[in-house]
This record gives sequence, structure tokens and C-alpha cells, in this order.
Amino acid sequence: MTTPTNPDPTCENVGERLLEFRDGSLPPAEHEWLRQHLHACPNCLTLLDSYDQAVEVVQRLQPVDIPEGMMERVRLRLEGRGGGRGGGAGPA
Amino acid sequence: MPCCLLDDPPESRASPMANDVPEALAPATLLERYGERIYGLARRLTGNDVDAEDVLQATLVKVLERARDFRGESDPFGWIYRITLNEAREVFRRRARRPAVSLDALPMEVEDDGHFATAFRTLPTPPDSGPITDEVKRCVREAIEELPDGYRETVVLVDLEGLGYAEAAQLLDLHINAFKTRLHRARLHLRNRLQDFWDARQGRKPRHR
Repeated sequence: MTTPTNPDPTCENVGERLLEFRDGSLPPAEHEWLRQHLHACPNCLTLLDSYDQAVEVVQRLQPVDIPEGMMERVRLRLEGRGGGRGGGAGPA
Repeated sequence: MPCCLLDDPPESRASPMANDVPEALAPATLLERYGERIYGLARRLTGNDVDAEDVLQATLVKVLERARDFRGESDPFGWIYRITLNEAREVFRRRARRPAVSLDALPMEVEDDGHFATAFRTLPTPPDSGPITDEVKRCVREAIEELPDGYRETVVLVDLEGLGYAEAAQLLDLHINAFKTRLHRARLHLRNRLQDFWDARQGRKPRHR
């Protein structure tokens, strides 16, 4: 059995692992290695912070609005088997 | 990239005597029960109302065509999700779209010694629970649209639809590690585009793209 070794302490290797660092799924030794790098490297720490900010912005996009009348159009096309975009098959 | 998710709905294989349509997939209830969820996913994948309506229509037609084959005993939405993903890919293939960015590697410049070439900046964030401006929404949507298919879907499924990694990876037929790599690179791309957006607002030269 081999002992896992941490990757080279480069910013690129840190950048590849931010998702797993955030969700806590890195092996403990690798998590600690990355935590120490972030403590010593302000640029990577800023990358992590801004990564979190970007994810938050995406997750806070408003729910999708259903256009008025759209569901009724689709229902009619399904019932009528045609008469609009994508019409083809319908209820058996 | 799998292109034929519809060929073998996993729940359909075990029952050669399948001929009853599950109540949830009956024509009278399908649109009412799943229409908004399908449309929501389609809208987020395609980025516009017209394409999303096309995807909804095509997905419903496909589900109705194949409903007799579905033998799952649980909520069939996982199966419907796959069909919706496939139909959205078809729409993307047919229409003119923003050129997809390449995300085979980290979407940021790296020096020979493995350190990043440029300094990162934190992003302005809206106040807690406050609305996100239309400009920022447009920036994020454009950035999502220019992701390659297999990357865009990871962000939509996890960050917008709220699925877990394992569930989303299964829907996309990806190993969990491959899924996480794609999601991570897609998020980094979105981060970079947001920084470019704010840099431009502040008169700085964009560093990415």
C-alpha cells in the first residue's frame, strides 16, 4: 500500500481543488495542505472568496417566470397534434 | 458525451409486458404535473423563452410517445429530466449560439512555475437577500450560455436546480469525479466573467477571454 502524497504546492493545483475544499471532500492531509497554502497565499485566498461570491450570485438568480399563455399554447398543440412548433405526437 | 439518453430508460427494461401508462404520465395530467418543472429546466438550459417552449413541447411529445414503456415505481421526473436535457441539446445544436469557450484546462492563465499569472479581485456582491441587477443577470446568463454543453448542464443542475452532485452526475452519465471537474471549471469561468464585468464597470481592462 502506498502512502498518498500531496500535490506540488502550486497555485494551479490549489485552483483545481477549490470545489472539493469547499465541500469538505478532500482527504484530510490534502485539505490541510490546501488550507496552509491559502493561509500563506493571498491571491489564492482571494480566488476562493470570489469563487464563493460567483456561486452565490448564480444561485440567487430569480426563479424562472412562466410566460403568460404559454402552458395553454402547449396544451392545445398537444391536443391538436400540430398547429405549432414541435407538434407531432399526442395522447394515445 | 452521451447523445442517446432516451434509448434505454432504465426503468423500462425489466417488463416486456408493459402496456399501462402510469397515471403521472397520462396526457391529462402530464402537463399540469410536470410542465412548469420541465419549462424551468429548459429555460435555464437554453437561456430564452422561445427555445424553452420548444424544449417543453418536444419533451412532452417524447414522454407521451414512450410513456407505455416506463415501468418505474417512483417519481418519473428523473426520466423526464433526461429527456429534457436531450431535447435542450438538440435545440442548442440547431440554433446559432454564442461560441462555446474551451474548458479543457483551468480557465485562467498559469505561469511556468504553476502560480497564477495575475492577481484576483473579490467581486462586489449584492446585499443579503437583495435583488441582483438585470445587468449582472445578463452577464451570468451569457456566461452560462457560452459554456460547452456538458459544463453548462452541471451548473444548471446543481446551482440553479439544486440537485446534489451524485444525482446530477447520474443524470449526465458521468463519473462523480468527472462531474465535479466540469462543475468546478464551469464555476471558475463564471467567476472570471463576473470579474471581467466588474472590471469593465470600473474602467479596468478585462483580463480573461
